[in-house]
Amino acid sequence: MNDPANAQPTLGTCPFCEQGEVRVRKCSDQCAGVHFFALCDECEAIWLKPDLQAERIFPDAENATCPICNADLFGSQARWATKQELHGTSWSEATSG
Amino acid sequence: MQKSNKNLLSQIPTKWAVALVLIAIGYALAQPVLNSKLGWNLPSVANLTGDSKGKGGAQDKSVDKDASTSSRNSTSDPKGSISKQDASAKSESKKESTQSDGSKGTATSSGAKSSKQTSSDKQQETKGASSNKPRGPPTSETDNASSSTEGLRYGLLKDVGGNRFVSPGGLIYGPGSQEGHRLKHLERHLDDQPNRSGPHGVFYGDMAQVIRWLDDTYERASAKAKGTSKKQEQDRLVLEAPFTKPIGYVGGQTGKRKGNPDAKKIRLVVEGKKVITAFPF
Repeated sequence: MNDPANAQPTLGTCPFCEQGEVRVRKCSDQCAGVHFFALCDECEAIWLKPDLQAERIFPDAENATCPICNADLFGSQARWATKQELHGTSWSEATSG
Repeated sequence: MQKSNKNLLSQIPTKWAVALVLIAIGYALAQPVLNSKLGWNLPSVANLTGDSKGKGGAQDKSVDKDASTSSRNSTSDPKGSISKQDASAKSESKKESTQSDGSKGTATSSGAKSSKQTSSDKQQETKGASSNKPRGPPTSETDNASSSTEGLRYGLLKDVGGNRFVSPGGLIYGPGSQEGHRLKHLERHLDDQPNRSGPHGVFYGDMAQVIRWLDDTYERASAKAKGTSKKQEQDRLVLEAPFTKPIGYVGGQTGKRKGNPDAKKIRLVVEGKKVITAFPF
């Protein structure tokens, strides 16, 4: 976490549950390739755009899946994106940390 | 008696006397071995020669002792189960006292702090025990609780199968979240995460207490009781309810900056009756 390149940038506090930290999730799939979305680590609200004012969606409570490739939301193919991984993407400007 | 024995021995030929003595020595050596190995009850040489007033009494007692020992061994199961029952009864009474400590409707600050220490201790046990099961429900504390109240997790939650547990108020704790189970996620709110950016609500008390508070929050907020609020978005519902006394404090970096203020409200996120998350704020 001390390494800035490996820091997990945040979009801020979740506007829905007002407690969780919204960070960018990096998921990869053979069909969809590498893709990003924002996820609240408390209530699992999801944003497909790097804008917390945009429409949010909620995954299934018991079988949460990636909104893009439908793989397990917390499966081994997905993890929190680092600052380095977001560099040059639209998510980079919206995040801090 | 001894005199007549001596007269009798004097009439026996020497070689017969030697043979009898050898037999007696052999018997004296073999008797205890045969008794212990084969479970026989052969009399000792002393008993046979009639010198049983002193040693024989002791021998009898030792036989009694053996008998009592073997009877203890043969009834070791019932005895063992009794001692086990005693042990479980003790552990139950201990757990009951822990539960009753944490079962107050609302926490006082001092009481809450002490119960928080208890929960912290339990959490450490839980973390250690659950490290091998990253995606299951909480284990050690849970298992202890379930053994104390006939299969009820934390003494409150009924196992309804499919890794789902239902509270007395009807809230469902099932699989889900990054931790793999909602109960595990909830346990994160029993301890502070001081390095977490933003707020992190930390409950006073243990899981049983938290589950009761969440039932209370759900019931009051659903009934739109005074001071409660309700916000619906798609399938998700955010319920809030105030408490008269602190039920936790605000942790995380935000809480730390503010001096970890007391929390007197609970926010509960549900989907139907499925608990997504809950925390004090």
